[in-house]
Amino acid sequence: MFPDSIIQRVAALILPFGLAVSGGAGAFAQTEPQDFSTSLLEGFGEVSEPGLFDNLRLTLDLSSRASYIEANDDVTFLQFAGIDAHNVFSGPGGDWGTLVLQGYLTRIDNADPAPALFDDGDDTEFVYRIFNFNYTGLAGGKLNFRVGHLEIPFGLEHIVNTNGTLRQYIHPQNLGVKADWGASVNGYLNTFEYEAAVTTGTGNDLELNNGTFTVGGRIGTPRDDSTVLGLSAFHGEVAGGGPAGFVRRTRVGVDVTHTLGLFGLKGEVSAGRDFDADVINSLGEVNWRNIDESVLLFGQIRHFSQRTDTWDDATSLSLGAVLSPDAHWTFSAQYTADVTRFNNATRGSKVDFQLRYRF
Amino acid sequence: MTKTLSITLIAAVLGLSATLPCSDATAQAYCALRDPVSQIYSVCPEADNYRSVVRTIDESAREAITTRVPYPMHFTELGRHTLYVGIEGRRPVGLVQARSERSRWGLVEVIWSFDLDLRVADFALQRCRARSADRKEIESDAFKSLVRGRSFDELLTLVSADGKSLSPEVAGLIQGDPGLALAVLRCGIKTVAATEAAWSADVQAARLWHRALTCFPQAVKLAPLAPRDGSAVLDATQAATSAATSAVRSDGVQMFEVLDAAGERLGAVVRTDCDFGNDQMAVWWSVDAQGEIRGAQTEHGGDPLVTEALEGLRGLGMKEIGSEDSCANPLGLVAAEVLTNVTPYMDGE
Repeated sequence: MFPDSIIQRVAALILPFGLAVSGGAGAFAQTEPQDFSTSLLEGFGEVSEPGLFDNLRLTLDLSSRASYIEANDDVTFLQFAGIDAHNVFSGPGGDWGTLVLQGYLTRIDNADPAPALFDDGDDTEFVYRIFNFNYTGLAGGKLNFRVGHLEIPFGLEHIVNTNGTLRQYIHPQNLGVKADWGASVNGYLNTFEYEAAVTTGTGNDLELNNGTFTVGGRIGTPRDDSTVLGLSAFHGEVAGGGPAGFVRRTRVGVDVTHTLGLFGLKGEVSAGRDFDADVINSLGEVNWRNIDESVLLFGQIRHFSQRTDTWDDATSLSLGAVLSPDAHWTFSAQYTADVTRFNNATRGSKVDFQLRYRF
Repeated sequence: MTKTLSITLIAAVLGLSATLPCSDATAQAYCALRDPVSQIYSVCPEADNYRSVVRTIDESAREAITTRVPYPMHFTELGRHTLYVGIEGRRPVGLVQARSERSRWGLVEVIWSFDLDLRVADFALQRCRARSADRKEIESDAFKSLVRGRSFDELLTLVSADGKSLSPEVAGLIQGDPGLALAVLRCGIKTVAATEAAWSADVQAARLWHRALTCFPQAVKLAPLAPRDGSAVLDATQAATSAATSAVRSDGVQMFEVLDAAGERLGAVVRTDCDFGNDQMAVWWSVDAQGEIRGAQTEHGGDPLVTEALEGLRGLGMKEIGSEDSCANPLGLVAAEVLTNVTPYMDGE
């Protein structure tokens, strides 16, 4: 009735089993139907997109910091209450964007002097940390375009998250700005990652017509390797400070990270100019984590040197501890002491405590 | 006054935190999240892009995982996590996930890739503080070949029953630090369990789209089709094949029509749960608009003879399958009943 080839092909079905069809009710298992994800079911086609915020991460982030400053013999309080949101936008052909929104209502009390961001020592400001959109749809993560409030890509700060933590590197002192409004190109390739940014030079406040700007970039080996090497460059006129209302800074820098078992070493050195003054700034860190990485201990040395006619320098040491007992709480403490200060000013010290809760 | 305000805010933080649910948060700020871009392409080389699927590992997922895995989860493993679906064009070709495991040198982060049946395809150590020589041994082809192609149950055989040591088979192969090998294997086992606990529906959808786009590259939309009443299928199959019994139950069948951009029906993809006495398996079928089988594969691989037998059904329609010979075996009957279920839809019903 049928061609031999078909009969042979169908007959081959019998071989693996050598069993008869079970009678009556049939041979299909009466199992629970498998669930099919609606979002992906729709998402892999082009007719209907998955929900824009299917990949949303959203956390309320609260911190309270108390700082005892020896010179004032008093305590300054700093409170942060904000939203930490992260969403990956995805379409049929792959991911096409990442949105990170971190906005914090920040309250400072009893600060003397007040940090530049605040009008006085008892003030409340809305602070943008990372607040940007990264378009990743062009080349599968290898060539992306970021716009918004972003971290200046320079040195260790670029590869270590320090926003809202006591542990800091030297971005603010070295470049005059840590995060800024602007745009960047960035990406990850097989053996290195890179980011280059153009920003307004205004820091937290977006001001487009005041003549300030920055251009910065870093290229480095993958940040999760045991040994990481990065090269950075920066030039800009950063708002604030000096009679001109800005400081013209130029830097080139190198950073290195190396892990030795539970110990980690980090170092960064950069050289350049503030207007006509030569500058060399550096930082070194030794850190240790326990096995499940719920405890971090670190020691840092910062050295800032500047030459107009002669070299002058400032050096400080920090010791810190971070305890993260679960996914919500983080307790931090840090002691910082001056070794030397510019112009031989009186040395001082500072003790910080911070309690952070994310939910 | 200001100190009072600060103390009040601290109290508010503590009070609020004690009253709110907290299952999704992570201690690490989200600005630190990075996709393991280069590793994704390294461990899933057929992918030319990837899609992120973020799901929550909550307490129920943790319970599901820890009932299958004989060791605890780290707190960083709870919360929102990402499964990367590697795609070639738009077709899913693999699954990638980053997961950490304790080792004597801290957390080891491993990037795992799996085929769509959740068998290990490859892995890479992304973050590892172990000695260089130990790391090289784990990243060697000799060690990788030990885990490639293994399912969850097969990975479990590589460690002791309590997960605290290597199996004798693996221990005999490791010349360096057995702790790193153990951490990587424990991580792989847990990654499969976590994927099945939190992403099972997404993995099923990826399998579905893989089958649809493999047979119908123009597919852009899938729409569920209602399986027919079991007795009606039985009657129709018996009428077409002269078979004395049926092998189909409607609650073991899931069908999707495959449409192109213009809304034209290209065919259907059908998943069937089968039970052949001692052999249980899920089989995926692709049927074109002419009612011919374009492809049939088991969901989790398995016996090559079964694979070969299913391959033998390619190109057959009801007319060819509806013979006494074909219906004397289980897969032939299943095929006949799949076609009985699907063909009326292909005919425009």
